Amino acid sequence: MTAEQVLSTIPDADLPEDVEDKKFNFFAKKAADASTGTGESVQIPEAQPNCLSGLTIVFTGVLPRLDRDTSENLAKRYGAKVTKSISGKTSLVVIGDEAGPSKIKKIKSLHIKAINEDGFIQLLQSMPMEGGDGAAAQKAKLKREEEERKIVEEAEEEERRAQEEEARQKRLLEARKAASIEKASHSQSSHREPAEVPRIIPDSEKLWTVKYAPSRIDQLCGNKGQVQKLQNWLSNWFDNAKKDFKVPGRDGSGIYRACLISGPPGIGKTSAAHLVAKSLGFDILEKNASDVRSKSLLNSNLKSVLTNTSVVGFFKHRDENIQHTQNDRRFCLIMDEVDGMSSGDHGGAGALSAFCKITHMPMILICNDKSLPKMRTFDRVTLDLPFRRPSEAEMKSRLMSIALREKIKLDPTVIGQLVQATGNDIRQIINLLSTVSKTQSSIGGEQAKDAANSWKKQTVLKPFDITARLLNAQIYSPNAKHSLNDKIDLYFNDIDFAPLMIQENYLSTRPSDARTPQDHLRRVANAADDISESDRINSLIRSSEQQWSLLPFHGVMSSVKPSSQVAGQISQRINFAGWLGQNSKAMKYQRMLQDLQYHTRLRTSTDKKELRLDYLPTLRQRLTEPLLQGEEQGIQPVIDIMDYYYLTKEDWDNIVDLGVGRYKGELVLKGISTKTKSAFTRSYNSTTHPIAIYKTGNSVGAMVSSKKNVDYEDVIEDDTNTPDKDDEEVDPDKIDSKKDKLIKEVKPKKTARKAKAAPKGRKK
Amino acid sequence: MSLWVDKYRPKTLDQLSFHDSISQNLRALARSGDFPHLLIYGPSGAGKKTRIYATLNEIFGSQVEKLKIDVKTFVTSSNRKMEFNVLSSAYHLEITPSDMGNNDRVVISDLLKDVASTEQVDFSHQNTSKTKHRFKVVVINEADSLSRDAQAALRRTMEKYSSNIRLILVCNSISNIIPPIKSRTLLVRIPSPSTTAISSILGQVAKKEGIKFSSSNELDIQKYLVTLADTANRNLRKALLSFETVAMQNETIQLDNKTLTIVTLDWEEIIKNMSNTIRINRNVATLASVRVVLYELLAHCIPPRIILKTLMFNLIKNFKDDAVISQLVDLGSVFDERLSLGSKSIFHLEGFVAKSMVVIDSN
Ligand SMILES: Nc1ncnc2c1ncn2[C@@H]1O[C@H](COP(=O)(O)OP(=O)(O)O)[C@@H](O)[C@H]1O
Ligand SMILES: Nc1ncnc2c1ncn2[C@@H]1O[C@H](COP(=O)(O)OP(=O)(O)O)[C@@H](O)[C@H]1O
Repeated sequence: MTAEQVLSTIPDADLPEDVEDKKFNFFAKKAADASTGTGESVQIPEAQPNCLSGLTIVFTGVLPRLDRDTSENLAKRYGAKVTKSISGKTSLVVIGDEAGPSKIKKIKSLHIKAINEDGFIQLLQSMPMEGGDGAAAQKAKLKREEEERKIVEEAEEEERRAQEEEARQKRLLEARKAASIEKASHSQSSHREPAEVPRIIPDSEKLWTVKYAPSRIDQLCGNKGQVQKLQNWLSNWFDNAKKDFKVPGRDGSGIYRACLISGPPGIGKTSAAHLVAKSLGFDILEKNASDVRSKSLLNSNLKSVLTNTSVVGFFKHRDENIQHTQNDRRFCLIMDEVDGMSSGDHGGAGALSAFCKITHMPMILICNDKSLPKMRTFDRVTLDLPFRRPSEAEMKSRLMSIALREKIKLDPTVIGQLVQATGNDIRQIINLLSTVSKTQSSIGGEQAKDAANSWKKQTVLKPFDITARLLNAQIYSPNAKHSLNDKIDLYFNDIDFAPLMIQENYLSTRPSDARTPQDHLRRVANAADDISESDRINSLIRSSEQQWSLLPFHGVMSSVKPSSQVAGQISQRINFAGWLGQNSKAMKYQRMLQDLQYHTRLRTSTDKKELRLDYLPTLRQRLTEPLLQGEEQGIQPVIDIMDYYYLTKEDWDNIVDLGVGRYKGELVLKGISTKTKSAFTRSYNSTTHPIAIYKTGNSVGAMVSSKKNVDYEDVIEDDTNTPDKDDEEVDPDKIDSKKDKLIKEVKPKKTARKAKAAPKGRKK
Repeated sequence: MSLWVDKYRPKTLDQLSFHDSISQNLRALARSGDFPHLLIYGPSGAGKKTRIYATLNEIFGSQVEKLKIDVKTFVTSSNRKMEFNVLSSAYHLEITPSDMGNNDRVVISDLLKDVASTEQVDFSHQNTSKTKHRFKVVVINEADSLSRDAQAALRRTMEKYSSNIRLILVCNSISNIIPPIKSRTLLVRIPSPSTTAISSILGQVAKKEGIKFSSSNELDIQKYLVTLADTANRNLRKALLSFETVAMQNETIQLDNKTLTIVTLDWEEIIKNMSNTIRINRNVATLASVRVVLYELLAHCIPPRIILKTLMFNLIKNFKDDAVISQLVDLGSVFDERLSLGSKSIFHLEGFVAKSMVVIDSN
């Protein structure tokens, strides 16, 4: 039986005569959908392996029951080639609602077989194994076999090379050992240990991901174009530097001193950066940006590095006597996980992007998510190289060759399932293979599906994927074969993030069966209600009661139930949980408020809450209005108030910052002229001010001495007044006195009073 | 230079203006030489703290106004170092348990032990006239936020050190105070001052500050001050603060112009706008925009329960229908409870907003 024969049994889908460009009406369509009784999903048939082999399929329009991803994956899984545009090579088109008019025209003009969703399912059911015996299927089969042969050859080649390498290393080791022993025996001192010989880890002990890390650029799967671009950019870097990064060059990369590789984890970003840099003879300096979290650390860390010279370049220069003008600077800096840095402090990313503008060596930055707001600062200063997940086809040969070298039998069709299960993460696939290889020597055939399924469970989903799956209407349809436990499992992939991610994103779906905006709102309200309730459960779990057995319940209330209410199409990008950032922001402001309360406590009679609610609006008025209206005349009155309440300049900033709405910090600050602002800072800094808080009690030496400094300063400031006699006497024995408590009770009070007097005295 | 609230805060019992009978009782207690533990409660801005300090002043003299702040270091059971501030004079100290987080029990019992044992030394040192009081006073603010453990510990300390420590607990409501403590203290309730009491205090301040009004008619001024007291919910502190704001914004206070002369605080204004949006535009997009505003408020230290309460009152103002009002109040109480039991305030506030949109929709 051939594919043509099977196809001829399937009825043609009716192509709409002429399709107007209708405006898409979401709710109308929903209503229409609902009335035609969708919602119930299809039974996806169990088809013969590779049955679609040799077919080139195009999906267009919206299929009534299968979504695009599912259907395309389905086709690919059974060996079909899925393309996006219709051409003469297309063997059939699966057409759904709202297909584009141009596509339909093409189908008609090229006379391509078009079937609908039912037809597609029928096709799956009836196609024989290996795509039957039609010419196309045969050709595909041959091609596949050819491919497999090539893989085997490649793998063998690599194996040989690996062995050679190992042997070489061994020889080297031997030689060195011999040399060192010789040396030891030559030098008469008998107690000298043989020189430390670097240990070379044999391949068999290495992690597979390390062992099979691509060692040549052509071993990198996927992203060929981007790797090429990176190569061009890096190799022209010094030429561009000579032109001061003014000439864009052919691909426009000539104006960048740094580049930013972005993409999901485990797709070879780091490997690519290293390989490219190495192949061009650069010395690589790698920094993990997560380690240098703050701006100042980054500054000191990078400054030293950026002025470094390459050791390799240095020696090359001497040994080979080649006049490379820039050879002393053949350094390349790779910063990994740039988006991981500065989670607490936004200065970090800004500082790094500033470096990108001035760096004297090429910088390659690597991040996972370029769309984060804090990554925006890199937008115009770096060459943007987005990496995509390599497709199944692209990694097939690599994986097969690994399997061959490890002597496990890997059925090529399993790879597809693996790729799906891991979300195209090569690193994870390699890790999985390595785990499985410990127990099984052949993977494929019958076990393939089980294996893929169990692996699917093993792979830990990222918060984004959890959210995408939970908010997708499909898993809630009765035919989805997705039990409540499966859904709770999604939550258990990340019990901390899943609830937060759902809360962040549950507003941005289009629920599949909400027909009116009111209906939508009602569903959202129910979800919000559940989420709110889940927080109580969370408190029981995390509080001193530690009721961990409530976790599944928490999973249902925080993630599954609310998602089930609003599940549907996700209409926006999935956002990362905003709660975390907001929470740390709130903590920061709480600390600010706490400090304010401590400082003002001697003068006010209120708690933190009321300080913010009632006091601060008026206090802010008193602290800013004079500057707004009186400009420089206003400075002294403001400082007087600050001194009365023991407020520092920082407190002033914080009070302004605590305003909201009309009195938002930025708005208030904008109203004050720069001149006044700097005059204010200047005159505040030029005088001393009273301090409310002194350390006492069981404080250690350091604190005592710093306190002494404060006192000392005050005494000097105060030299117009007659210095207190007892003050001087107390001072010397203070440091080691055991009677600390008593003395301190007297001391701070005095300084506080005196310091207060100081600025007043100055103000004529 | 200081704000009026602090500038015109009475210092002695004689200067206190309202609740005269309470003042008299306090005076009698202060003079008796012995002094019970006190539990002083009432809404904020009713003058609790002012009264306490006036009483302390009566007992120990003006020395109690000489305040200072000490930073005390404690080592918690988990061996973590913790610092917190103690406000004190020679005769008393003042602590706020919420500063200490979860360790309030340890901190309080340690601190009281410390006070009780060092106190003798202090007094042998200070041979002043007021030594007839051989005790030190410990004022505990926000006593209702003390954990149960801490309250239980406190009850033991009260008896153990009763010879040289007197406690004054201050809180807004006594519902969270355990009965054994209630029975060991003298309960003093300080209700909010009446609007007339407030308006007369405001009037005195206005005279001293030389505030100009658009009319010199005493009655008009009186009426305006009463409204001011009313909008401040009879919270004297709030009334004084907003009066000062008005006086700063207007050279002459226009008695007939309400928009200029009644202050809405920054956060109140935002919540008011939010409630208007909710009333007019009830849909998911609004909810998403409300979330942003809520986050903004929460980040800027507006307590979630205040947001909820203010929002609910703003919402029900718009409705005449009792059914809607009662449902909204119902929702308010449900989410208020969740706020106090949960930890992620935004979840509950958003829940309230979403639910109340639906309630308004379906009526
Ligand atoms: N495109 C690829 N081709 C071959 N191996 C890959 C590829 N991507 C990832 N790997 C494997 O995964 C490992 C980790 O890759 P890495 O470059 O660190 O990923 P990333 O930096 O994108 O997280 C590599 O050592 C290699 O074994
Ligand atoms: N009897 C009074 N006469 C005048 N002003 C008062 C009086 N009692 C309180 N106040 C003012 O009210 C403000 C708030 O009082 P406070 O004692 O701090 O209230 P509470 O402790 O109840 O919150 C004080 O700052 C003070 O200015």
